[in-house]
Amino acid sequence: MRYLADQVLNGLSLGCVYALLAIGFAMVFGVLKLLNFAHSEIFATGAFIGYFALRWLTPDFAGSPLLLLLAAIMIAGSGAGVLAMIIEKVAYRPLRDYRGEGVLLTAIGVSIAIQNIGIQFFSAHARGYPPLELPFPPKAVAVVILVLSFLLLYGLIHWTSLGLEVRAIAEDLSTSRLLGISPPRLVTLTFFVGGFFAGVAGVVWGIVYGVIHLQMGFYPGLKSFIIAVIGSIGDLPGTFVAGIGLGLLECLLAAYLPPPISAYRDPLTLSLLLALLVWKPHGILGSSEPEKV
Amino acid sequence: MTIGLLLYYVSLLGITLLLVQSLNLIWRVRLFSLGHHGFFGLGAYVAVMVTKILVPKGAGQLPVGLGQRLEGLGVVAASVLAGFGTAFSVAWVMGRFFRRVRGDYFAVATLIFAEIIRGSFSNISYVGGGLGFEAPYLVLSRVGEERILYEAFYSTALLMVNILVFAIVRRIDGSVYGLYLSGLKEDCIALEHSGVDVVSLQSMLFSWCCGLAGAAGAMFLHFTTLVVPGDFSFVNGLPVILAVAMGGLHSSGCVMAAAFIYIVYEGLKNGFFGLLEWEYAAMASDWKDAILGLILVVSVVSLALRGRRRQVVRRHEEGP
Amino acid sequence: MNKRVRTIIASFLFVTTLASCRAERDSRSNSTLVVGGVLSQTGPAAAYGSDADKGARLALERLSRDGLPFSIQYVSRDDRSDKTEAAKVGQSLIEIDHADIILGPAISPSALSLGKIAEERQVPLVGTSPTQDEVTKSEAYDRRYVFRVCFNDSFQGEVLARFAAERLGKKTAVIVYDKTLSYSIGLARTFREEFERLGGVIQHEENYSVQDTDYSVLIDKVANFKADVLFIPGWDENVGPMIKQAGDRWDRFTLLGGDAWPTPRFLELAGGNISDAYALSHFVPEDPDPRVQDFVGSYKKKYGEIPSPFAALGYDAMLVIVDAAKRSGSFDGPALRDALAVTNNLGVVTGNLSFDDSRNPRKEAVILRIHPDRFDFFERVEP
Repeated sequence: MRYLADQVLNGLSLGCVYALLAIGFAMVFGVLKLLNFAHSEIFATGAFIGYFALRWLTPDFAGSPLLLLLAAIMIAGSGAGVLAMIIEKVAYRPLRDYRGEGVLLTAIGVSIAIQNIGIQFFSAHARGYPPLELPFPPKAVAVVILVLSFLLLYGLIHWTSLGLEVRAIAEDLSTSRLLGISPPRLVTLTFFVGGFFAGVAGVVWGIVYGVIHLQMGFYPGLKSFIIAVIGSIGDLPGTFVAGIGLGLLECLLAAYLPPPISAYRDPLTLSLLLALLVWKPHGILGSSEPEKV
Repeated sequence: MTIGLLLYYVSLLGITLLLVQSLNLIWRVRLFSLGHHGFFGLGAYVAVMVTKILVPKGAGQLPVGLGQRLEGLGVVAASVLAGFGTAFSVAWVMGRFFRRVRGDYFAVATLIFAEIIRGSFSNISYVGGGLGFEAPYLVLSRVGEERILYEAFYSTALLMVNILVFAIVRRIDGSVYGLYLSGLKEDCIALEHSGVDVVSLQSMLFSWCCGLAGAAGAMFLHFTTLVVPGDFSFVNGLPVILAVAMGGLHSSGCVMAAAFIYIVYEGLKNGFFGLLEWEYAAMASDWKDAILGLILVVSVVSLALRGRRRQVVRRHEEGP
Repeated sequence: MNKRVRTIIASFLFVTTLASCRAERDSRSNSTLVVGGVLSQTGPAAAYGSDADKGARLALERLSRDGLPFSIQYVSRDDRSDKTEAAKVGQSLIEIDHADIILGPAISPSALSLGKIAEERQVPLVGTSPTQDEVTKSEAYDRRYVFRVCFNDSFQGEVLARFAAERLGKKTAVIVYDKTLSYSIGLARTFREEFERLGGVIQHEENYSVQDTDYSVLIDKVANFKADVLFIPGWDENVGPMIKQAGDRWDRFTLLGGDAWPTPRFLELAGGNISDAYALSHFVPEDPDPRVQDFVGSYKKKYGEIPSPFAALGYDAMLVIVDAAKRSGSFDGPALRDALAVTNNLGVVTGNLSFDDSRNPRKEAVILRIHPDRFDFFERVEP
């Protein structure tokens, strides 16, 4: 029984990270229909900023380690958010028409550029996150942080007028313009928020798993992409559910499959995801509505 | 730079171009597959199985005499066909299941599928599992004098296949199907309503093109004689996606783009094939990936900016 | 891009490529030895390759300073931990940069693909840390041009199994291996065979992938077993975090690892969560042997950090290469190869090296005791 509880906690915390990453991704996609490939790099950057922040701040922060963590998260999140905004301004905005292969190309280009410039200056090998003496187990703290972030984001989107405007342009860009909403400002905001939470996810990842490196964003980014799509893009609760679901699935499969089959846990998880995608092609919580191609 | 090495690069480029051309065609029917490398891997692994069955004694023996070489050629042909066939069938089945899945989701689905393929095969020890598989030299070998023949054989074969595919695509463009393709690009719904069975067209092209990727995989196995699961990862599939995206949705554009990227990138690695001074070559080699990323961003952005400027100028000229 | 621009670019590339072609390798000055480095400086094996590169450069610096009868040009390229890249880069080093000999690669898949090519082109290759047995010799082939300065998987697995069973007196073990690495698979296999041969029992085997970062499930699963030894023949980048994440759940086990563990990074990543652990290594920085101390000292001075075993291997590879070049009549492939093959008791950092018939080094290994903050020499193992 204890084993199951442990695995569920594992799955939850992993799932929360995936979900948070996916949400940042989904926000941008929901609003602009743009696959922000650079999202994984923003995630990794957040983790690194957090790493340096923790090492730099430790002598100063005599207060509780929780405050230290919070500070690091704020710094990393803001840094990541700013990076996201810069990327948007430099690489995506000139391509006004956000659809099409051009954007895919720049997105990939940005992703490659950031990763490799980083490698030139920081070298590709892994670093260990500075250990933190937290009053609770890191996984539990992670889950709490992530749930809070999610609630915060949900509140932002659904209960503020800014959020209303963002949802409006996600729904119908031209009509929103007619109604006086200014997209560029909101787009920047969307990127910042998405990037912020990716940065938070990065720090949490570092705390929970203890290791970061410049190419760490790749697989989580890929999975978050999958989750964002399955969670019915732009639908926050759906994405959250999908993220948690994937985390739990990964952990439980790994935990309970007998040895000869356990090596196939990744393909199995993915097959289940694929089946889900086909069965519910409009996302988990979405409704089937005709979509203009 | 030697002729041998040049032909080696040509062969590798040839395989990449096959993948690029086939993916380009898939994208042109509005199926934005991101999992092309999955079929590539599938073809390669099927080829592994065929080779293991037909050539039980495995690597280490060199083909001697015309008889053995012809047999070897047969094995190569068999594996290429098997690779093609398997990829074709799987793509066809996939196509049926994914009919109701729309645009972006399709992309994700193909991506997932490719990872499933790679994950599964890397656990099957019959095809080498995590350790990979080494194929024997079947027709020619790279040892000694034969090497130039080897490189010539594969580069010519791959070049010819590419030209063939290219010609076929041109033929298609010129035919009524070409009209359908450009119609798809403009307005898919209108095309549906004018009676064209878009879905069948998509399935058919998808199957054929994925089959081609499978064939490319088989050729990759026999050309490099060593495959490991890492060869079929998304990272290795990125250059293909890049080239297709860069070339736009016409047939020749992507081929040029692919060749261009490839030559520049490889050139950066070795100081443009020996032309650069040694220290600059080393620096270029270190920064090649970052440079690639930046080139991508800069080129796309400047193209877009130019486009916008032209629009603005036009508006000015046309008056209020 | 309009059509004319495209045509111009295409023709330019075409012409320059042709212009750089020559029929075969030119004769170039026979007083410069060109050493081509193929090392993984990015990718999952980045640590092993870049450390080796640093070691090799240090060796080059010191050897040149001490005076050589010829000059050396060291051109090092990144193989991105990818075997196709290694083949490409290796070939271009041989044919474009006219490398006389290859230093590296650091990992087995690259060494397998490049080794094949080196054998075919008759260019000697001295691998720094590719440990898979088949790199130099297998049932199907014998690559006479491929050498390595590190011991191979069979040796490691056997030594570790013997250490666990006989030296530590352990009876039961659990193996956790990386299913994506030939290194790990190979080591796990030889350990299992030897351990069982010596009467031990392998209770369970578990696996993970090199790209995994979350080991929670693995940790909990393994913690269920009441074995003496936990053998994890993986890379430091994975095992370190694994140990850190394990918290106290793995305290009952004696941890055992292969040569990929003892890097400074490993300690950092494990976060000090080590109580009872040993690993096999090529060298220990604290070894009082004057050669080792000399190496460690100059490495620290040049790079500001303590060398990892992989740096030492890179250093040794360069020493081996230069020694062979000195003894060889020319820089021809076959001549260098023959000179390498008879390397006899060469004093390198990791011991006294001679090559055996399979071109694996006959030298000692060390077992390290691992503490939360450092590695300690435990005992030496004869081949």
